[in-house]
Amino acid sequence: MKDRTVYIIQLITLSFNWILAVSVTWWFIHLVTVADELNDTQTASLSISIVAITVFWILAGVLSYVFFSLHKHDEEAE
Amino acid sequence: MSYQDLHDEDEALFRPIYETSRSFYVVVIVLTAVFLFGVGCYIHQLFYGLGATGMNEPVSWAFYIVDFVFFIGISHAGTLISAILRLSKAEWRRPITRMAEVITGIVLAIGGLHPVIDLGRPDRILHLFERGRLQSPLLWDLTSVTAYFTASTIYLYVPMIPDIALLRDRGGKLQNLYRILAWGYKGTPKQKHALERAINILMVMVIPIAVSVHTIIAWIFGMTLQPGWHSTIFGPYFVVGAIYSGIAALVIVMIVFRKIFHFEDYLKEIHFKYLGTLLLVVSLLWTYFTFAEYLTTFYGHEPAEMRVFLYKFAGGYAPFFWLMVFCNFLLPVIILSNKKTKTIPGILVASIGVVLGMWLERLIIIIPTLANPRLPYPTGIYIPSVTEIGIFAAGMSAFILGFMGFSKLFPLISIWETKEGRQHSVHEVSVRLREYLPGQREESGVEASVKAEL
Repeated sequence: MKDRTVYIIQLITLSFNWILAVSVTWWFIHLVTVADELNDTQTASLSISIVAITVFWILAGVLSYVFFSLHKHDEEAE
Repeated sequence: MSYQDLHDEDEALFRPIYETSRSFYVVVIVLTAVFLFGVGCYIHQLFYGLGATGMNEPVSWAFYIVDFVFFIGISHAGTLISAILRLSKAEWRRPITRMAEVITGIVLAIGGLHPVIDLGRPDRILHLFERGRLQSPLLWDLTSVTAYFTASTIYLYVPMIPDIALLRDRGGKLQNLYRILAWGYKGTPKQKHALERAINILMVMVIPIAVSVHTIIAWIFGMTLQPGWHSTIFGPYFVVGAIYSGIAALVIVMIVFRKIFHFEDYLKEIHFKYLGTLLLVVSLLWTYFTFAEYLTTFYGHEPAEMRVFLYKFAGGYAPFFWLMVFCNFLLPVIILSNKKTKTIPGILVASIGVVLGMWLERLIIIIPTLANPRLPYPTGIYIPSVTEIGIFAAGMSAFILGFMGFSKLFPLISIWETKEGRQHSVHEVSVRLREYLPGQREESGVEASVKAEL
């Protein structure tokens, strides 16, 4: 398999994590909107959303940091 | 010594990937048959609805939710224990962490499916995405389990990258897969630094996520006003129980795979003794929580609470309750507090007892409360159907199959961490020990004296 193909596959797998983070964010925004429509209390919705969204974004960020750091230093080594 | 040359020393850790015995295939065939039987049971349930189960009114949550709480509890074996041991720089963690993390990944996937199975109509899960209420603990649970699964998978994968790179450099089967997964890792100091930094961030993140998962599962019960569930200590009680069953499951897995793959040189008696001590401590903590929970109920003597209490202590669920007390308290305490019985077989017996006891604990928490609700219903009866037992058996086989499958692709013991321990730990631990001692003021002074001695 060519190096370029390997790199593209790696990028695709990494992007799944970002898709998850973005989906969770979108879903939570949708649920907060629903809560607003139903006149539900917003305190719980907002606090849970903020915590959950942050966790998923940090996780995706850490994984991306590892990916790009390893590739950057791999090229430097070569 | 170059990065690629390092692998020979730990050849035994690569062996399970390249060598497969005939008995391995036999076990896979048997487990696959059990798994397929479970799948058949689920298809039967899809056609006939939840009437195929033993659930009824008022017992509307049963085996599936018991298994869900049980499997998620076991998942605390991994990431939490591994993160705590890494964070506390416990050197004996090195051959343990990988197995612990694999357990987490597999059981979370299995456990997370159980609420969907319990729905009867799996398509109804979509309602949660469309019209879920963030005020509901059920939704908190879905979020925390997903976050835990994501964090655990990343936490399993990132420390595995150096080992995957070793497999890539060895060549042979599945080389393209290892090339993709190794992310270009060559073992340069800068790459090691980046990896270490990521592992440090992850291990700090994973602990609160893991604690939140089981706390929220406890809140699904604790937030209701049902007798036997409405308790302020349910969160920490569930977390302690999860860690307890997690350690026990980890010990069982370690002993079994140590025997199968001849890891005696890596998983030594000392590892099991330490884990045995941890098991004993958590056993006492679990007993304390259980005692506090039931004493408060008994002292209050509220009629609805007492119905559930007596149902557990002297009613239909008394045999299960007392068996749970035996498995979770008497058996481990007797075995693990005695030097003569705190051997590998003894610790195995105690761990099997704890896993059984913790499953019974989940059963005892869920069913007696539903069978004796606060509303004036007659006492409910629940007998699990073949469908439910079949799906539980499928879950267990999926766990073992998942673990066996993992052992064929990746090393079950972290090779780079073992090497790192061999090369640096003796020095590091010596420096750390000297720092604790009186008369040693500065780290640099200690380091110089240790270097001189070495």
